[in-house]
Parts: sequence; C-alpha cells; structure tokens
Amino acid sequence: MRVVTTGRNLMFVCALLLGMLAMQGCASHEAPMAGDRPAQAVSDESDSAVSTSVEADDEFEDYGDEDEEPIADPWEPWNRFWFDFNDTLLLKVIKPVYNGYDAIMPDPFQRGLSNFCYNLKAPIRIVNRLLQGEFAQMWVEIGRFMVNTTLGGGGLLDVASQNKVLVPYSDKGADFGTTLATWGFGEGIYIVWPFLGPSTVRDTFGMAGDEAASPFFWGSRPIGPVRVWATTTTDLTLRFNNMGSTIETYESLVNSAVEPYSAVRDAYVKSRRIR
Amino acid sequence: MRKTKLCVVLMLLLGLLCFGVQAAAGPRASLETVVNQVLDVLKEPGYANPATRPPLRQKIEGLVESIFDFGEFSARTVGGGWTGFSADQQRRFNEAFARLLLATYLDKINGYNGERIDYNKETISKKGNRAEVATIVTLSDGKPVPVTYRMMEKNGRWVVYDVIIENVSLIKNYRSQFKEILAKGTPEELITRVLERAESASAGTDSAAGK
Repeated sequence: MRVVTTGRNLMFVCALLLGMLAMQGCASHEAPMAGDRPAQAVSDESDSAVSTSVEADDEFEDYGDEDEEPIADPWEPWNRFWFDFNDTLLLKVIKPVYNGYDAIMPDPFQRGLSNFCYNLKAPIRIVNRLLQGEFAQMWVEIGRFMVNTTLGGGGLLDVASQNKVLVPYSDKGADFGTTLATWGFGEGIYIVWPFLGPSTVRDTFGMAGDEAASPFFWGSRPIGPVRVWATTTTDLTLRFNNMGSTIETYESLVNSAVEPYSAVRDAYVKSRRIR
Repeated sequence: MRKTKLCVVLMLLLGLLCFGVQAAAGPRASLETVVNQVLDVLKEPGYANPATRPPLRQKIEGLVESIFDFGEFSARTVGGGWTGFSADQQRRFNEAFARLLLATYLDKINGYNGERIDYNKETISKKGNRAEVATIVTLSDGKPVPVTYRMMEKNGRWVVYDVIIENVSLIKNYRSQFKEILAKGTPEELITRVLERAESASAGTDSAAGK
C-alpha cells in the first residue's frame, strides 16, 4: 500500500519531468526538419560519390538517407545504465523464473490467462480507437469484447477469433502512445526505463494514458492507489505470461547485434514509428 | 501460306519465351522461387535432426547467397564510411558480416514449423532498377509479421539488399550500430568486433546443438 502511494507520487513527478522533456524533445525534433542540415548535405555528397553504381533513388532509400529522422538520445549514459540493468534482469532473473513457470503451467492455463488479461484491457483499446478515429477497428474491438466476455467465459476463451469478420482484427497501435502520434505529438527523446525497458517521451505518456483508461482506474470505488494496483497487476500478469515471446524477440535482436544498445534503440523507435 | 504459319508459330514461341523470361526475372517471382526452395529444404525430414542437417544447411546457404547480395549489405551498413575501407578491409568485412548474418539468422532455424508466407505488393521504382516486395510471414502461433524485401537489379538478376521487419530495416539497424563503433574506432576494430560476434554466435548455436 505504501509502496503504491509512493509509486503514484513518483509517477506524478515523472509526468512533470517528462512534460518538460517532451517540449525539449519536440523542439529538438523540429530543428532538423526546419533547417537544411548543411553538415549532412556534405556527408550525402560523399555518399553519392561512393555509390557510383548505385544512384540514390527517391522511392527506395539508399546510402545517403541515414539521418532522415535521427533518434534523439541526450540521456544516453542514463539509458545505457538501465539498458544493462534491464538486460541482466530479463536474462538472468526473469528468464529462469519464466522458464520454470512455463514448464509447470499447462499451456491451456497460460492461454486462458493471456486471453483473460487481454480481454480485460479491451476498454483501453476501444478508447484509443475512438480517440484515433479508427471506428471500424473500434467496433471490431467492442464486438470481440462482448463476445469473449459472455460466450468466452469472461474472456478466458477467445471465441471471437473464430468468427468471420468484415474487418480483419488488429490490435496494432491500439495504445495511447499511438493515439498521441496520430494527434501529431513527436516521439521526443529516447528513454530506457528501469524494469519497463525502452520507451520515448510520447510512449511514456502513452503508458500513463493507457493506465488511466483502464476500467479499474475509474470503475471501482476504492481509494485511488488500489485501483492503480489492479490495473498494474493485470498488466504485469499479461506481460509475464507472454514473456516467452518477449525474451525470444529480445534475444534474437541482441544476439545478432554487434552493438546491442544501438540495435535495440533503433528497433524500438523504428517499430513504433510505423503506425 | 506455310510461311505465315511458321511466322505465327515463331511469334507465339517468342512471345511465350519473352513472357517466361520476364516472369522469372521479376523481383517478386525471383524472391518467391528462392524462398520456396529454402522452405522445401527446411521441410525435408533430415533438417530437424542436427546430425543430418549440415549438408542441407549448406544448400540453404547457397540459395540465400543467390538472392541476398551480402556485398550490398556490407557497403550499405557501413554507409558513407565505406570508402575509408581498403579493398582488403572491404573484403574481410564482407566475409565477417555475411558470417554474422548467416550464424544469427540461419542457425536459429531448426526446421519448418508451419510458417506461411504471403506475397503482397510489388513496387518497382520509376527507373525500374529497384523494387520493394511486401510479404506477410505468419508464424506458427498465427502472429502475422510484415516483412518487406528491398531488391535491386544487378547483372540482370534481382537481388535483395535490405530486409525490413516490422518497419525496422536490417541495414539501418546495423548502420546505427556500426556508425557508433566507427565514430570511436577504426575499420579494423569494426571488422574484429563483427568477427568476434559472428564467432560467439556460431559457438552459441554449436553448444546448443550439442546438448
């Protein structure tokens, strides 16, 4: 209880801090767009000199396009510290625990738990689809939520996935970070959070926003911190239950990398830019 | 009369030939052919067994090398700094990088697990020498992953020079890493690090296979 309260205070402080950062991030995001980047133009020239046989084509990016949208990382020392911390945490602590859990728990149980938590979070996705103006996906999400909550035994079974749908379901981008992006917020600087992993200013706000959009946050009457607790529990349970694929993705990225920190930073930010 | 008939036949034949050649040479078709060949090898029962795998893996490596241009990969990951490499360094970097890619991506595949590949849009650049082939790889657990191949025409063949998974370009991802290493170190240091990584990656899979 105490921990949660301080956690909440911390969140507030972070939000304040981040608000400032976001502005800074936006500013630094704007700068390269507005300016003509003389320094880069030089490197572009040297690039095209290299690629005599390969002419830069506007349609398909080539040699000289590397700094098109650079990733702002002014907090690199902090980020690198927490990157190493998270790396050890994930591979040395969480992975063995998860492997033990995975070995003991029957697959149907894990699937059921995943479905249950995922279904609990449907309202968050619905709100985001609404805010994004993605109404087709919003209705799909509402339909799935209703079907799975009723026929799927409170969300334990994903019966809705067996229905023929008009619009193929996708939960990609059904988060508040993406909503902010559709509203024109820049990603801001890259931040690695302890325990939570890679993020940006925008995605940090996104995380907080999704947390606030959770039914537990508003739906139940008990005192604030307890509500936060329920949301976080759902989140952590889902995260842990699906840790297998997270670990797999992370390992394959890091194992193929020569400089893992940059590899993860690039992969995280670029995959978040897609939406 | 006979002459016209012959002419028609010849034209038909030529037309067919042209059609055939064009179809085979298109970026998507070239890619699909090789990918299918790789899948066929993966589906062979011998591949699942580490003891009988090496010759099959060799076969896949050959197929991969026929469609992936590792030289292009290398030059592009280094980007502007590529001219700072001597011819010898370029060659050694090529080898090290190809080894790393093969070790980390190919060695992980233990067999065919029901993945499906759907070929979507093929976009060809205005000049006609570049193409982008969009595919959706559906993993065995049903999760769809968008994978886009960037291809270029080289010596009359279409070859892959970048792979983009979930909007993350393989080339650019490595470029961001190499840029950092080259900012502080020499090409020689970069080659050493890539080589080290390739070695530890293949050592890791060896020990895993030995278990």
